[in-house]
Amino acid sequence: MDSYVCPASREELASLLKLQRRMGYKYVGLCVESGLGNKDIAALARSLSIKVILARVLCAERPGEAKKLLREGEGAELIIGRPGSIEAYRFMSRDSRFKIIEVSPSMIKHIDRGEAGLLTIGGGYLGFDLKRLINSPSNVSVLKAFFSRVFKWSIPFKLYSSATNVFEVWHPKHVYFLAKSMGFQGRKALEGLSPIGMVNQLYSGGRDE
Amino acid sequence: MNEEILLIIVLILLAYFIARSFMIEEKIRLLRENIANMHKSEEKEKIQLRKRKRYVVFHVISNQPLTRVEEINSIFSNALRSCGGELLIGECRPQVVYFSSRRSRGILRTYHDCYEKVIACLSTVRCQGDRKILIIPVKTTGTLKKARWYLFDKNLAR
Repeated sequence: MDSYVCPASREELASLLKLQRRMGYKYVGLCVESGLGNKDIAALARSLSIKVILARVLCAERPGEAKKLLREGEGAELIIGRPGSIEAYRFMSRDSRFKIIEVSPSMIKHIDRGEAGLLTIGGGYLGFDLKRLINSPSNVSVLKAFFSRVFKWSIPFKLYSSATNVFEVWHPKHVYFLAKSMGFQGRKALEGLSPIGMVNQLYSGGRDE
Repeated sequence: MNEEILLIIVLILLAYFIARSFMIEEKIRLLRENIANMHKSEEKEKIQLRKRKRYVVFHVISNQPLTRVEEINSIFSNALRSCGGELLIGECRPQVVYFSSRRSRGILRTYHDCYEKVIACLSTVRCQGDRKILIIPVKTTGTLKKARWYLFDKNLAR
């Protein structure tokens, strides 16, 4: 599962989903801001036998702001929190409405036992945006720190591409070899691409229906 | 009486020299075995010095058409230079041995102890100047013959 992609046009979405299906993805989280009609997305997903989930990224500096955004931001099945401060980070980890809490490089040091406990309460996942590596490959050290911390505290995590076009998509083998080159088990890293259990699929196609 | 004692002494001396000759033979045998083992270990070292190769079958998606092996090679070396530096190129010596522009697939040769690093580096590279590029590793094999077989395989999720 790629939890978050955000293509600009319908053509871009079609090529993105087609490539992701070829790569073996069965679920894709699509940003609600894409501006595409639900019927359009449903038809496309059905034709490509891929399940699409509407996802939204909420950026908040303070817990109050996060609450406000949650009230306003309806219509998304998968909410990804992007905290700007440690307070917002802890709040999002505790709140069950945030399925994924994106970790920025400055937040890496706050992944600890306490965070693992909060995520157990909230039932969410820690997330890492792989687009950071494309923008700056030196962020590999951030991913390494992320892996070492989530593996140490057995914290559930997700990796996603935030792809806007086909050239930003991540193949599972990319993630596997990246983890292996860092000295981690590749299979453990692939857990970050497994589907999120508690999400209901909005649009589904293929044999399941 | 004296003759008997002399005979016993002679017999003892004879037995001593016979035993000693056997011991010397045994020592020579052990020495030969040791020399043979030394030669064998040297041969082993020679085999270990020769690094095993790995052939990575890759699929390329690009916004501009790619046709020549040299073009792909330069893209790869630039990508690896930006990611791992000259050290990685020197250690892994990656080289594109075959590229099919029709299938957008090729075979990259590197060594068995660093192919993971090469793939990891190539995964972070998505653009080269104006050209946008996505390199997908399809399969890693130990022989070129097997790698050629995967060039025709359309499955990307292997």
